Amino acid sequence: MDQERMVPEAQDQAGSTTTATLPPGREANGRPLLEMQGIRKAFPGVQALDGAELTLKAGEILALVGENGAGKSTLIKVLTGLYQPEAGEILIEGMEVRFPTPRDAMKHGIAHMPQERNLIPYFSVGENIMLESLPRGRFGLVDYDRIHREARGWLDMLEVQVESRASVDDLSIAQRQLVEIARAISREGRILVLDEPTASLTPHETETLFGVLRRLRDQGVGIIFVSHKLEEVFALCDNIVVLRDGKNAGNKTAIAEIDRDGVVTRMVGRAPVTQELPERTEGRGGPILELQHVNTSSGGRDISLTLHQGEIVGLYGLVGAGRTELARAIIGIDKVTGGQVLVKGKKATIRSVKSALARHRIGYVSENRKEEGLIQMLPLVSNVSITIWRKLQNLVGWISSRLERKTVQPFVERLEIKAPSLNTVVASLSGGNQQKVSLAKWLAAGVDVLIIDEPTVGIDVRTKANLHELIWELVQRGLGILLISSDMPEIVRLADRILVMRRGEIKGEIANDHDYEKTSELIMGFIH
Amino acid sequence: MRLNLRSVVRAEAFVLFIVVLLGATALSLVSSQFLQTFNIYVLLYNVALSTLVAFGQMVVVATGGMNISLGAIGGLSAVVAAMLMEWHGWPLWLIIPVVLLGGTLMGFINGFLTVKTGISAFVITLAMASAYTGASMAITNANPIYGIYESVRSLGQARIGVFPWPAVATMVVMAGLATWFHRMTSGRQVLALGGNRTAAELTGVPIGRRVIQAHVISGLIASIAGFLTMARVQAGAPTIGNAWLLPGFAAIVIGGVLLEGGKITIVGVLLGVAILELIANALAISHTDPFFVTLLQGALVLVAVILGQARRRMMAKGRVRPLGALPSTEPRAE
Amino acid sequence: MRRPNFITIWDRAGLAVVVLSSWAVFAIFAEGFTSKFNVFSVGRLVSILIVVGLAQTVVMGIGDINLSVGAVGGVVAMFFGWLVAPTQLGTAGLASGAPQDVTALPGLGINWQFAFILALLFGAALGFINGWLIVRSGLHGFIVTLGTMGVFSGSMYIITKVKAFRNLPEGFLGFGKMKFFDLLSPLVFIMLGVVVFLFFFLRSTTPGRQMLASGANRRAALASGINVNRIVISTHMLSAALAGLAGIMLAARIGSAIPTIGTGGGGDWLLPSFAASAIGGTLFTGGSVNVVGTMFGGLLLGTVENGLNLLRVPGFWVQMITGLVLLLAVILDRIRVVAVERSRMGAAQ
Repeated sequence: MDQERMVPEAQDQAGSTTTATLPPGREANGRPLLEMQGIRKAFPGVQALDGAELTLKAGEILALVGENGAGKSTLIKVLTGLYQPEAGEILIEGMEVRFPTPRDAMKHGIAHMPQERNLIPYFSVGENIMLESLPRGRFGLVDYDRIHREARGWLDMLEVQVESRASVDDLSIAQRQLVEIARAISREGRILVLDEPTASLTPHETETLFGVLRRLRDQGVGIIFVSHKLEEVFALCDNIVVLRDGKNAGNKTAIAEIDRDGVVTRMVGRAPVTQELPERTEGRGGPILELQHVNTSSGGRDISLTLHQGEIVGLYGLVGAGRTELARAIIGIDKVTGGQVLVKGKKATIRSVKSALARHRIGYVSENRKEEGLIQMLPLVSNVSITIWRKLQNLVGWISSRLERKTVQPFVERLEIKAPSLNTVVASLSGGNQQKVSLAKWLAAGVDVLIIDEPTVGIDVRTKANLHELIWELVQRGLGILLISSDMPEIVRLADRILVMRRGEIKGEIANDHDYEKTSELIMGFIH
Repeated sequence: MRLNLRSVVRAEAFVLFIVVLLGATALSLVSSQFLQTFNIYVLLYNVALSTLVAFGQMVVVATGGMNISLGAIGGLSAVVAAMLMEWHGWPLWLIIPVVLLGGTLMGFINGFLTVKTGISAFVITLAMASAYTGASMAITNANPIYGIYESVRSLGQARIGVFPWPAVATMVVMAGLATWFHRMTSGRQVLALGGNRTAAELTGVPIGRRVIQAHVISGLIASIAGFLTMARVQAGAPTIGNAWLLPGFAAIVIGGVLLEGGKITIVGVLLGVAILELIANALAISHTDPFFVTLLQGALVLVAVILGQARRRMMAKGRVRPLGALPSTEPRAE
Repeated sequence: MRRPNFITIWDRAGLAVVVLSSWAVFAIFAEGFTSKFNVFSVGRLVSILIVVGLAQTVVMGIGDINLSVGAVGGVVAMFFGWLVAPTQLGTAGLASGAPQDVTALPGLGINWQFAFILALLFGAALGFINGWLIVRSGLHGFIVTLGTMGVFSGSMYIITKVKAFRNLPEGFLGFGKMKFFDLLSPLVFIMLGVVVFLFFFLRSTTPGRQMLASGANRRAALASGINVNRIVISTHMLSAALAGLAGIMLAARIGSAIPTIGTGGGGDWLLPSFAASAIGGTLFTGGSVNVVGTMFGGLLLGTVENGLNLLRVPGFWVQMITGLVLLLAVILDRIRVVAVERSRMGAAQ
């Protein structure tokens, strides 16, 4: 393999795309390297992509940014053959292409570093990098010397100080990430897609990576760079595309012509016009859940917060900020390793969900409805009554199904769960109704504190408003709610106070006056 | 690969090697019978046959599956070989390829059904095991076939000193597996898909084809083991392979193969078999109840997997939690 | 209740139709199939088969498997035999002066009804070992019960030296031979009792429902405040107690406690236990069990075995057919699940 190609030519100026360095055929017909037009992709209950567009030229680094759930990852997955779009077309150099499998995307020169962990355990670093086509030597046997020699080249390029022969299991997270980047680059694609490549890198490693990416750009590679870190986008990219709600927010813009605030404005947009929520009549009561300098086994550091009765505290942060982990530690799935947890003023040690529920009356509505929130194959009634079976049983341990239905029915009505019957399997309900079922089971259990994690992900706008009113009403009735959300308009609309988390720590607190533009700017200030 | 002392000592297989060494030393000190030529020959012979069985299981376990029908394939292969000898008088050069082809075919059926139906290998091979065993029983009417050729009988007895000739087959299979798993793309891909299926798929590994391939190789090894066992017991008994499941799994879990798939160790499995056979040999020498073998195999499975699990937990504790493993809130296909 | 259509009706009644048709076929072609004696013996055979199937069904309910059903059945039967066998081996029935029966073992001579309870508790204790090892190690039931299978049966063979408890008390032997209406063994009523108990246990009690919830979605069950570990252990205890019950039932049927109950003598229990469960519609993936289905599954397997025996078809064909029926059952189930998921996806979009 010609690694010399990677070495920048002496006279080559940054930013110039001299065709001399391009392999033959590139931009032959003057069309952009990649065009994606009118891409639509829906999942049950949500339109993830709604006519998104993207154009990438050879020798360009294009930033793709947007809030959580804006559709970036879905667009990338369409481009790399993991998802099939319902509508829209992908053109490479003006030729329409289809990618039924990731393999087909690779064949068209698309190299991708996915966001998820993607290394093969127990394999060496070098083999992980070269896995796609292991070089073969004599008798068609895998040639390890060549693997490690070639892998060494890619590792050196990124200045990664690990042995190519080392097992990936022995690497740090940053090193693993660098290996994944090396793997993507080693494919020598015409289009390089990097999804959050710098998430766990040090500034120095990031700078080295950027140097490599600039060199690749100068050789005519088109690069799509997906990142939450705006400062990196401004430091590296030539142009920027912002997605919001599955659509493009504004056209592709040269990075020089836009500033931070401009990007943030495009990302958050304006708050959707929704009905004002009614004034709450009940004031807030005493503190019911307090964390004092809590550390958790899952990476939470020195977290202090107070939740009062009749109050909604919002917890905002990017994906991976550690909010869900904090919730799991509070309810006893993960461990609290330091500090104190107080429930209604009394010190509490919560070791399991069972004790969180039975002893401290704390419930947790999981963000992951499918795998953690609900038992999809069971009927609605069981999914609500699961928390109270013991209370429903009579002396001989018998649960009367009449009593069970009678107990569940009021919650189904109060939450306006739309289902053909109480025996309907929850898997066949819509996302919004499923979410209401997972709320209902905690209400049935009579909790005082409810931690709600991403309540409206994947839920359509009407149901979303409905759920908001519901959460509002619960607080009115005296619950304390810790609302975890990555949906800025949602958190601004509902929360009384907003805490912003980043990398396992609470970075700041904002008293929310429900003024969207002001509050969202404040939140962004803590994050970016 | 460079060898340095530290990495050798750190290797899991090293511990097993020490255990084997200590066990053998202890046995030779305690019993004068142990080092007798015939006893060592029997021991090596047992190791050779059991290693084949363990390898047959290991190949499928590498994909994250398992092969319950391993013994049934071995039994049917033995029965078919004996049948072709006694009733049809086929020449040996024809019988052997036919038997091995039969083994690969049964492996193919297992793999094909597993891949095409998406049902776990456990259920498929459990069901197919009864079909294969039923076929052996039907052929033999549940009685062993004794009319096997003299050449095969003498193969079953052939040895130079302590070395049993059939062990050559084990060595060939061992070399073949080492080459396949470590030096051939398809073998590497089998391990890759066992370790991280999604990642393997993303790098273009043809998952279905590789899973079938592993089952085919497993079937082939089972038929070799069946044929050699037949040569040893001098009869094509349908019961050959009846008791292959427990010792096969015992050897691979002691050897350090991961049942979730993705990690194999050929030397480890060989040493695992050696440990099991040393125990069996010790029991035989001391005329202890042979059922202790079953008991100990079962106990060793438990000890090996629980120790393995504890070790992995300790190693996991020493590491940071990978950030990439945090849940994403992007909409997922539901 | 879901709206009844052809598929849901077939789901519920299809198996019964298959069983009835097999009865009809054998009644016509197999001589003696409908004789009183044959009905009696099929009843005993089928009852044992069904209880063995249920031992597997409950574990499949939590998404686990239990390879040690046969070993536990044998061990519990032998334990029971030891409790009830006379302390001194009688020489009755042997020609005077003949050596004592060398394959028989003496026991404790305890009242057999009491011993029955003790033996079931012993079975549950073996199940506790399975469940505890699974929970503590975090491993799948397959490998753990594979290991305990070897340990249980190995220890039993060593302790009993592969001898049997023959001279079981008259009361117990009489129980095995008892006939109601000159037709039905009490074993049938035991089996029916177990079916009814399990049916309502899984449907209407907290532990039963928590078992199914844990099987359907372990993480969601845990996140809903269910102590999943305790559920796993108690399910394995229930499974082993049922396997033990089947072992004692088999001892009643053959009139002695022999070590190969569950693993050799009457054929290995492993395959039929899975086959009866899978034919009945219990999923290997957990969360969905069908107790009545297992009953019909066992009924079908037992009927076919008996019918083929009457037709002088060698026993190994039965095993082969059992395997193929298992394969067919899981493949059909798979097709059904995939079809249901498809229609659901279609509805959601």
